[in-house]
Amino acid sequence: MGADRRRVSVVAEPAAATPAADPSAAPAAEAIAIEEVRKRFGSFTALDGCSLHVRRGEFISLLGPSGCGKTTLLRIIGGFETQDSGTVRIHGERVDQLPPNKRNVNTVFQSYALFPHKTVFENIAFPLVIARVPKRERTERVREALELVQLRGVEERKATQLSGGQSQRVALARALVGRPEVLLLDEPLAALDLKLRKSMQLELRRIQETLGTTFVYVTHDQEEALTMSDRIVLMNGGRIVQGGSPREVYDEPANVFVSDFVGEANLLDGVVGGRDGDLVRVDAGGVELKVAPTAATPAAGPAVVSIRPERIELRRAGEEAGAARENRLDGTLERIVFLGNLVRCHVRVGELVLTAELPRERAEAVAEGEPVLACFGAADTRVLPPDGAPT
Amino acid sequence: MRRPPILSWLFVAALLLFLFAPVVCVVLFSFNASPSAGLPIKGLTLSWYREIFDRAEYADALRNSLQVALASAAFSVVAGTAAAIALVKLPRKVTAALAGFFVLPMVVPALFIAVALLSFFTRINFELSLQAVIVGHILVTLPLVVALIGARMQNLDLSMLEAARDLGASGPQAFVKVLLPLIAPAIVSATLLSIATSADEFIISLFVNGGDQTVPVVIFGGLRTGVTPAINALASTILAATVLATAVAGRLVSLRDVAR
Amino acid sequence: MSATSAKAVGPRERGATRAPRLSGRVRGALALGLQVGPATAFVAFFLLAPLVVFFLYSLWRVRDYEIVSEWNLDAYKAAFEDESYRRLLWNTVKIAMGASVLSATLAFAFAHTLRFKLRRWQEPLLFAVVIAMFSGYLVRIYAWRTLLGDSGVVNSALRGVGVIDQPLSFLLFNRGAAVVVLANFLIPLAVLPVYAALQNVRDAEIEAARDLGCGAWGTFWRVTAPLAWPGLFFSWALSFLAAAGDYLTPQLVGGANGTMVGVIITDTFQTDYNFPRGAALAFTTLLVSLAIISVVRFVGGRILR
Repeated sequence: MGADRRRVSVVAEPAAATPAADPSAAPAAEAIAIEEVRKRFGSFTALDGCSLHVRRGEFISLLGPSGCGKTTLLRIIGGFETQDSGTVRIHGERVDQLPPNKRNVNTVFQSYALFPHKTVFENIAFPLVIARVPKRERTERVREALELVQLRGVEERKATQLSGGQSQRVALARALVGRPEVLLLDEPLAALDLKLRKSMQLELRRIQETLGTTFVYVTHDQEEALTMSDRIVLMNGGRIVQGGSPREVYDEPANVFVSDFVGEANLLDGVVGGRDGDLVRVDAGGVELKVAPTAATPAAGPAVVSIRPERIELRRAGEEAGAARENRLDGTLERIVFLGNLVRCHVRVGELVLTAELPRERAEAVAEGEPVLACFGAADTRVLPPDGAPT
Repeated sequence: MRRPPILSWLFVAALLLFLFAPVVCVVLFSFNASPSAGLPIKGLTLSWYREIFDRAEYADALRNSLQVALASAAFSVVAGTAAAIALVKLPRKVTAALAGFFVLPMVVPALFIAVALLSFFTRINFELSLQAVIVGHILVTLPLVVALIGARMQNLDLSMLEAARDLGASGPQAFVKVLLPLIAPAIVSATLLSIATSADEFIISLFVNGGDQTVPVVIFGGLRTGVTPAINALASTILAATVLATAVAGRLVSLRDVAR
Repeated sequence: MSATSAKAVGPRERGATRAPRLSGRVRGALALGLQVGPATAFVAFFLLAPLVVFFLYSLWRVRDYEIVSEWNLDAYKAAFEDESYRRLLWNTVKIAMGASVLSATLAFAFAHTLRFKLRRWQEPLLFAVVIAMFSGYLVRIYAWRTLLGDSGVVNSALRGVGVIDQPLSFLLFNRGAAVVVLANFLIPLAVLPVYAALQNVRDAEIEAARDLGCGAWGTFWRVTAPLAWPGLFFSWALSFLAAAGDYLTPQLVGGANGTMVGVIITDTFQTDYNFPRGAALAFTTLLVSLAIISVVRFVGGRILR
């Protein structure tokens, strides 16, 4: 079992079916349990052995670039694709062989998939009609659902007469009115403009917290994932690469891919040198860096040093830096980019170009073309094996 | 201010005149009071139309054509719609192959199909009759149905069907409640055009009918003895039916998509 | 609230312990097969099989009015060696070529006009053409007799106006009439594929070409024509094939020198009952037509490279 296939388990030993003292940690309480799922399309491997456990009531995001398999995994949970091997359980029951209409899982599609010939009310009432819910209760629950997504006064409009944001809410309401145990969302906000997207992100989170339903959210937008999720699961090339809370994934990326994908990072190729007390020396393009090693840091050979731009401080050349900043690099400030509340500075240090992000006030001290001191602590770095290297 | 496209309009008008001239002729002369089927026009009368229904030969032919048109349209529309729906769900290569397969009857010249059917039916001792004509007409209308419904399916977001299943509908339920209402106009259109095509079909009907003739065949027979106004009237009747059917069908479907 | 404990409503049989008899995938495939099956089977049985039988017939023989399965190439030999048949085939090709080229050209001009000049009227005009297509096959052909005959509309009109004394008899029952009548019913068929192809020529591409210095003719040759060629070729090929195989036109308006292969084939079947001979003729015609179509395709593709 390769180290790059992380089993994101909530429970330490899920195979042992002994009832744990903490009931919420027992396997049967898991909303979704996926084991070693594989899926190929012709010669293309979409999923290469993924395992995932999702707690009840969790908001979990599947994050990754196009083609990483996140949508395929979602569709397998929903029942629209069948996996080649592996099992899928929802609330403890195996659902592999069940068609989508028999699984207690609903999906919000990227294209919303509203029924164009029906009104908003009819769209939302659809699952209730299929379930033969009596008319009065139906009307009530549709109203409830519309309240939940804060959409009023559009019941009688045809689905084709709605704006993007409204369609999105109707799709959401329709998927929630049946009170599913799990809701799957396939990049539902992709078609909305920026401002709307941001407000909908908070909306979705609020709705999820109100209902307590388990949400599985697919996106390629890392900021979106960071905003809404309890837990982020990063996928790449059909594999699950890392799973953890937004903070864990941001501060402690397991590898270069995660480091690069989530947030901005300076990624410097280098070679591990010797130790220097508690710290390790790395030669990156001629510049010597002192880094704080972690379990993932290679003992020797090639490595990649990852530094978040906001961790780099800029001082005028010759100034004193704090004791905690073990790395003080002489460089030249090549370019300043004004971003409103932040300023991004590109600093050349020998062969390297570092990107630092500073709040406006700090940036007033330095000017383009001037020599500067780029400072950051050893603890502000993470040293990772280069992607693709066997561990 | 751009020059108004006079030349373009002239050209288009001339072409349309050319295309519709024979039809206009036939209809005009079906009302001609003179017993000749050409000029001069001596007066207008509906007597020829009455004659159609009086003459057993013509009345029978009308009935036969109607039967054949309805029967062949029924089969074509049901089988063709089912096939068109399945085609969008099948893998690309299979779809391409089958699409070519279904276009075949439209590409092979009708005379060819007619004589091939004749040979085949005599070989397997299948009696030449209206049933045989129905078979021939199904062959000719099936590609039309598959093309029309197929074009409509291309314009639909198929995740709608997945959504329906996701929300609890079984396969048949998703079809009836979601897909059917959306393709209904196309189905009606296809039915009307199938009927129009069948009413018009000549050569296959000529070869494989066993004595029960359809209208075009009767008209053809009548031509041997020269065009009479009654023939014109009969032809005009069918013409009215097919043109009406086509007009209604056209309103139901967007022509641009179908042109594919 | 508290949806975690709320009962989810739905026909979801939670008895997942009982797996369905057939796996979802197999069931899905079966359903698709059932949907596409009847239509496919019908075409296979009633088109492909007859064509095969028909082909076999062309290799057999007639003896005492019975079709005997003796393998021979006599029918084909007769078809090739028969002088009159060769002339007939050549005549057919000439007429079919004339009619199909005329139709394709006019259809292209029409579609082009619709797409670029009369944009706002595209739909209604196209609609008119479709109606023309369904306005009768036999009817339209025999109507031309009334139009072009000695006492027909054209002649009567010209005489009435005083342009001529005697009716123009060259209007009907010859090659020219066959071409015109064929074109009359082929043009609507030809318009649709060409129109569809022209839809692929996006305004942006035309504008880009103009922007880069192409004149009107240049833009046409470099941008429009190559994109429209597949549709145009398809229209032409379809028209050619349909014209070559036509029976009614030569029979009703072709006269002596406008006769085509379709008439002979029909006679061979209806009066002679000589199936092998008829089949051989039909297949030969088909082969020749397909050969011509291939040549045109090759040449056309080269020219537009």
